[in-house]
Amino acid sequence: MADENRNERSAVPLGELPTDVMWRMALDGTIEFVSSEVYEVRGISAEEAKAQMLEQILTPESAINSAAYMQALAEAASKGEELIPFTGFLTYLRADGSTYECEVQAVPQVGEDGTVKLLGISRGLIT
Amino acid sequence: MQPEARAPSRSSGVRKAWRRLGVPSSTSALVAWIYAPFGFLVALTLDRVIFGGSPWAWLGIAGLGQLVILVALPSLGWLLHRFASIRFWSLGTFFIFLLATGARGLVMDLTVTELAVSSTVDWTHWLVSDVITQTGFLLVIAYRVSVRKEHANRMRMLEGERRELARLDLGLSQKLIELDDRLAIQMGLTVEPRLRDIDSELHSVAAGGDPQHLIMSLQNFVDDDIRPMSRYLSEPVKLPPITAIPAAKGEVERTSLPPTVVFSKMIWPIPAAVIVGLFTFGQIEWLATLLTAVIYTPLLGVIIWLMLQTARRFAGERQIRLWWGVLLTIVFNAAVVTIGAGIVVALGSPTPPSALVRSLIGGALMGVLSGLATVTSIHEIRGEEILRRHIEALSAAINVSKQRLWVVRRRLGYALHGSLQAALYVAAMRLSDHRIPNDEVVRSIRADIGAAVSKIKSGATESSDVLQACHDLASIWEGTCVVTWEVTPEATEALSASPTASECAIEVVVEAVQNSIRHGKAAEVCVSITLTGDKLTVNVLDNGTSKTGVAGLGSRMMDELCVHWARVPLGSGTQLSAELMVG
Repeated sequence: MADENRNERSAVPLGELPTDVMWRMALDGTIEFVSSEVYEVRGISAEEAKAQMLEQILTPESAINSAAYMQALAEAASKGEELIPFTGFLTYLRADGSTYECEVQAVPQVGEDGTVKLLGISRGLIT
Repeated sequence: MQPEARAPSRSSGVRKAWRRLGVPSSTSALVAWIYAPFGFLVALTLDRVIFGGSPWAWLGIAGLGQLVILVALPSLGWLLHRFASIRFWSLGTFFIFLLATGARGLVMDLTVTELAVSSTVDWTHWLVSDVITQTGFLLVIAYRVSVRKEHANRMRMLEGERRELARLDLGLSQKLIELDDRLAIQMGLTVEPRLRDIDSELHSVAAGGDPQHLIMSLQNFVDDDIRPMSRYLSEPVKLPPITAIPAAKGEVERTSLPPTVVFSKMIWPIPAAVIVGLFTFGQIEWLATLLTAVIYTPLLGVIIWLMLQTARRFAGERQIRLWWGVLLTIVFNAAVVTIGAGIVVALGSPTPPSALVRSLIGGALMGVLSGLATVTSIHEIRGEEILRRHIEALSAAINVSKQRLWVVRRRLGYALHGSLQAALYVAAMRLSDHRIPNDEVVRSIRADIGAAVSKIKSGATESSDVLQACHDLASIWEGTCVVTWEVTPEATEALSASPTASECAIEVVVEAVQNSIRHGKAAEVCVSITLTGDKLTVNVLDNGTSKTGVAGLGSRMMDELCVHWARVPLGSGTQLSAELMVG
């Protein structure tokens, strides 16, 4: 049943599910944009979510994975190497202390001024 | 043509007041509590030289009477509203007032007799004249309480509407802010990686690779990514959840009182005549007979009404400082009631001892009542006005946000669905035409796709000149229909300052003209655009058949873009009127 749900959900274009949270993040971890759907999945407003650090957003294990990916990305950017997108599962923390697993897709994007930003979408999983 | 509004007649006012009497609040405990000072007034103004008894004894008796009213009104009211048909609620309430004041009189009479407080008060006073007086007081109080209750309900309804609109306004503002970011992310996550893949495949094709795989990729790209995105853009706006309205949007300024007031509004000839008459009725009956009271009380009422009505006419629309107005009302009513009482006494009415003091106090109380009730009424009206103003402002802001959102989504939809999709289709066709595409073809394909992507990113806009759009419409339909237009200079100026409103007005005009020609088979269509305040009115009049079709995409668009719109069938044609805000 969970697989069926997942297949059904993956057929919906990205960003169209009420639980699809879009975000943009600088490589230093500053969140520049979070879509308002974050309230649905994490119980906090977009403004509150923007003010959080990685450790407040993700479980310790997921935060370590994310930080490692961003560090590798920063190194690749500084060396002028190819910037690899991220696809994987991360566990988010909710306002009530519970956790929430998401399939995360993020692509690095180099701006006109050369700064690298991550554009991402976190799609919650129904288990 | 709309029927002319007529001022409500006096009889319709009486009917309305009678219906108002039937509302549950008329028999509420609140009415019983407000009545308390009136009930105790009897004890306080009683002439103990004639009737005897200590002040405490009379206060206790009045307290017992108040207890009866407090129990009788809510309980009888509950029975009435629980078991009686709604048609009998007004009449039922009137009988409840008679029953409650009758029970009050009976209890007070029995107490006076049992405790031998007075030997000069008989049961006819308590059960006839006092019932009439006290029922009159209850009617006045119930009327005012129901007015207040209605105001409170209206305020609650308006506040609910305002909060809902504030929520919507905020949702739309957030949606507008988010739209750019969302599309940038969606482009970054879906469109751009696919474009990069296509670009590298184009390189391979240019180096002699098989173009078939690229052709498939191009088609899949359109089907899997571009179409869902343009479909998303054409769907109704889904608003983000709003958890709290910021203070700036959630608060309404406190209702303040005006510094001045029209003095004549504080003079109430009929209520003053009725209330003073009611109070005097019991007093005269107590001193003389029921017949004497029946003769002199209406006489006093008429004298007071005449004097107050004359003063009201004389005061006209003269303004006075608010609290000075209340003070003057108190003094003026005291004087009028005292003069009125003097005239009645001169005409032979029985005179209680200290009649002058009683008249002065009674008149002053009437002045307090009418003065404060006027202030309360002004406060209520201003409170409703403030809320209505907020609601209007929010509705206007929402309309402007909806227009902006619609324009942004439409532009992006056109760019995605039009330019990019066309560039990808053309690319697939050109690759199919050339079995082995050369460098020039590949370069040209890349340039086309690149230009389409740039158009999306820059949000390039089309012309938003209403006059030009009308001219284009006339040219397109030349030979089929004569399209004429008139745009006032004020409207032209406002539209040139607001490209969003201009684009929306064009859409409304195009939709209306095309409907007139396609569905109404009109041979002549006349467009007029005018500006009133911040509101643009688009009128499209045609001589076609007036069919009203099923609401479709056009109606949905009109709902989103306009504050109000209506299509009215005329004798020979149809008129479409639409109002849009100019943001």
